[in-house]
Amino acid sequence: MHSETPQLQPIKPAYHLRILSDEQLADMKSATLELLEEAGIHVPSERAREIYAAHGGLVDPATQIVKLPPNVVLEAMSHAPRYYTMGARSQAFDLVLDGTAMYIATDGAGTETIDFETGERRSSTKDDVGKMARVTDYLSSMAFYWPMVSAMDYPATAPLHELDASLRNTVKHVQTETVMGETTGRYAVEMARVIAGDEETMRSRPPISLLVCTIAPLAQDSHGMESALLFAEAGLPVGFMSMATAGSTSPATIAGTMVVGDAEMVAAMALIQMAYPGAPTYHSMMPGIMHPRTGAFMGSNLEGDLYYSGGVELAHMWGVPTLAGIGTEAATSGWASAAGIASSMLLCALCGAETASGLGLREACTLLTAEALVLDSDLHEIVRYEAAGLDTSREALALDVTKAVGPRGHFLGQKHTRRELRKRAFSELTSEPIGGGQSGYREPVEVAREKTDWILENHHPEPLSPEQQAEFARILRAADGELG
Amino acid sequence: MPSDTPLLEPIVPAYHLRILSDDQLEQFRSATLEILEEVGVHCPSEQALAIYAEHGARVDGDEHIVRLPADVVLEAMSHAPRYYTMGARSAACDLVLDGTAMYCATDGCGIETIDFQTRQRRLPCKDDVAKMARVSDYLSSVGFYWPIVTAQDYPATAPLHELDASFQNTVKHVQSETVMDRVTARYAVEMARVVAGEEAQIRGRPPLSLLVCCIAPLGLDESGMEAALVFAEAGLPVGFMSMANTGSTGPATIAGTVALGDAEIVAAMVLIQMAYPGAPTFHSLMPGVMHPRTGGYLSLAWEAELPYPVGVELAHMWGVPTLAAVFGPDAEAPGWESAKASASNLLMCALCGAETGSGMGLLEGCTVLYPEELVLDTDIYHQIRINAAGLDTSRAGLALDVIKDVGPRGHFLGHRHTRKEMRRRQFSDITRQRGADGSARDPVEVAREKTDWILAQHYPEPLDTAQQAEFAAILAAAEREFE
Repeated sequence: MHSETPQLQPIKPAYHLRILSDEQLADMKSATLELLEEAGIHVPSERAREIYAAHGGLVDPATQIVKLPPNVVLEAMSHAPRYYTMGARSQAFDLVLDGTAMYIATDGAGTETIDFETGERRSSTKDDVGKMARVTDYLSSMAFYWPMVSAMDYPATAPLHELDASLRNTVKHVQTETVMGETTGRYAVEMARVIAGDEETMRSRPPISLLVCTIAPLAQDSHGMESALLFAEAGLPVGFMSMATAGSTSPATIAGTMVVGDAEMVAAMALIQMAYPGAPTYHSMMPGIMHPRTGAFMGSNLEGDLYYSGGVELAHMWGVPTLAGIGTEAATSGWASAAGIASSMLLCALCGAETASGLGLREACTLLTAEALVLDSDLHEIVRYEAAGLDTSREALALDVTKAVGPRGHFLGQKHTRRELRKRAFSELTSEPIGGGQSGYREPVEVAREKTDWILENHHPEPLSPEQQAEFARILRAADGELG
Repeated sequence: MPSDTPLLEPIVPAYHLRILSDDQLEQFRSATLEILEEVGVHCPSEQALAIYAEHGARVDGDEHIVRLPADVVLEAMSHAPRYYTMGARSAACDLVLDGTAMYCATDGCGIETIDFQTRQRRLPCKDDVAKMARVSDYLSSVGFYWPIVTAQDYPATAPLHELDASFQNTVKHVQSETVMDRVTARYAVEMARVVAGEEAQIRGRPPLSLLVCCIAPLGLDESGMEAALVFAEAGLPVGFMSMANTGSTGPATIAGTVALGDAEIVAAMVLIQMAYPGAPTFHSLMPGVMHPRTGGYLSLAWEAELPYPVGVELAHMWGVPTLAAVFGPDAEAPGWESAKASASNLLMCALCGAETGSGMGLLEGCTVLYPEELVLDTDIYHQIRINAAGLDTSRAGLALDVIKDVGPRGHFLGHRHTRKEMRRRQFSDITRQRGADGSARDPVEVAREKTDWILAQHYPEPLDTAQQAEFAAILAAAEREFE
């Protein structure tokens, strides 16, 4: 007997925010077009260069630089759909990206795990991916799943084993950020086909999607772009993320870094639209700032939040949905891991982000710990309630109750209180009293840890059908044979 | 040689947010007017009852209930100034409440301190107020100071000793939330007069203001209201805060609690405007949600965030500035819980146009002073300040020439532009600090060290000798009177 997957509860903003003015957006658009025309993009994939050339890109085969005149970019981007659906194994969990809700995914591709039983730090495994897919399946705040860590016990075919562990353990949409190269890409598309069942469903409700990182400044990865083309051909959504770093791989200004990133993403999306006009694509701005002493990438900082919310507005300017960057780079779950997440998530949600990812890892998106995802989910709930607006109906204003109680009374004995207090929402992490509340409240990190254990013990979502499982096993065997 | 007080860095939002629609604001206004007209407020002060009655309120002298017809409320509120200045001992720290900037204060009136040396929990004292005034003076995030804990070593005259410790140790504006009753208020006004120097200054740049809590539901406190009248008469700003608690002292709906709190605050501001038309007043909505099992006041339950920025919009609807509730988490120690909601709440209040906010530096629902918490909150404050300031998309900010210069697959490390601009990037001095062995340091520990450093190094400009003597005389007189 399998467990029911709780309904999704995405963030649905009742009010909205615009950070960049129309003029600022126009300036950034001109800047991207200017860079693509004058500086161009390094494109090592021969196939990609051919597609660019066939659609008006100016290709220099010797340097592998492609320059894109503005009209070529704008023509290509005019085919990109603004709205589409990312499907899920179970239709109730389809993500309709129509701008009314922000759906959040976990972080992904971590490389180490604090073992849930022993507490030892070790390399991450396929089993970790499966376990966290189950936790994600349970959490109503998590709308889709990035395989949270790498299946490092399957070195040659890790991305496919990550998909296997994910799709078996959650009925939600899965987005991979590790499928790179044509061969791996083909096997991944096969797995999507097994889930979707038929071609039409695969295109209208694609159960997996791909995220490919560009290489800053202004370059593409050959393998990444080739798997993106494969996914797009199959009708699966593909997105591009720039992680340009102010000071090292991009200028030491925030806007300059955003423009480098935007140009990279737009060049990549333009390629997809040239090859497969109308293919679902998305834009994901996730740059950082170089630590001035260590040179490290810092994805969030005092100045960092505007990258992500500004990125949402740029995506919409180009007419595509966004995958916003949220999350933390803190080393452990504590003050620093909580300090910046909610404001960044709120800004992105109010700017209209359709999707976002980045919850549940520590140490700059590399380390999986048992409690982090449940803790980060609590922050999602804060933002969900903040963004939902206020019910000011006559019933909610409760004037009759206030009149009945009058000055200096209390509301404890009112029927209204008994009924309405049950509807109030409290964090189960921070409101857990010790000894009836006389001794304070339990430590939330400890409560989160227990909740994760509880989910792992009790939540076993609907499995793949036996036929699907057999097909997955066959695909993995073939891939292990070809790539192993 | 005194230390320079670093320039204030208020939050100056480049973009704005509206949470409630015009219709929703109107619903709240009607609800408040309906409550004030039909239910009224309880007000035990004879002085206040007389003022209310004289200006058209229906006063029940036996029950001490004041009912306010809508036109009476609106007439009184029409005198309240929308914009004014809260002065400071040093004019460079004056707070011009013109809607362009948000200034934040510490929290106040804490009833326990984690000792600076021993780290043991103990009762707070006047010296804690003084120490944290110095820390606040140093931090550019702190626009003004609430005496952060109570001076429990001076039981009868604590509020005045808190003001003494505050004014002696910061050149910034001081807002008291403990001066209650007419006699204490007169001494406090005297102290403000000593700081201001002359009558025109006390009205033009009042160095002291007062916050008075209402008593939910719909009650006004006799001593608090009488102190407020003394302050208003002297030209010092007075504000009123509702801390109605959803489910116990407010209805178990969020909007119901907000409407109730708004009615309390408006009734109190109306009294001040009736007595001293044009007196500077402010509105401060800080309700909580009752914990369903313990009955505790939870300021940061999931749903408890929205009333704070909504309070900002209600204040502006009534035509007065706001003191928004920011920070002040329920957490029992600095950590995950203490940080989780502060940033988004501050961001919303700032983007809604809050002129002032308070709550930095205390934990356990605004009751316990952890010396390092103010520095930790400052880090969150600056993150929000920088993000609210918007993005520089000038040609220089976009840096297109530099990008073209570097081109695809290059790097920016060797570029002069990087050397120049990298220095302008702003980094936290609390997070991502490394220990001697290269390991990540706990930001709470770094904040503790920074607090110790400030206390060892920062001694702001003292009061002049004559002012110090006057303060001593005022305190001596007050102690004699209260003995």
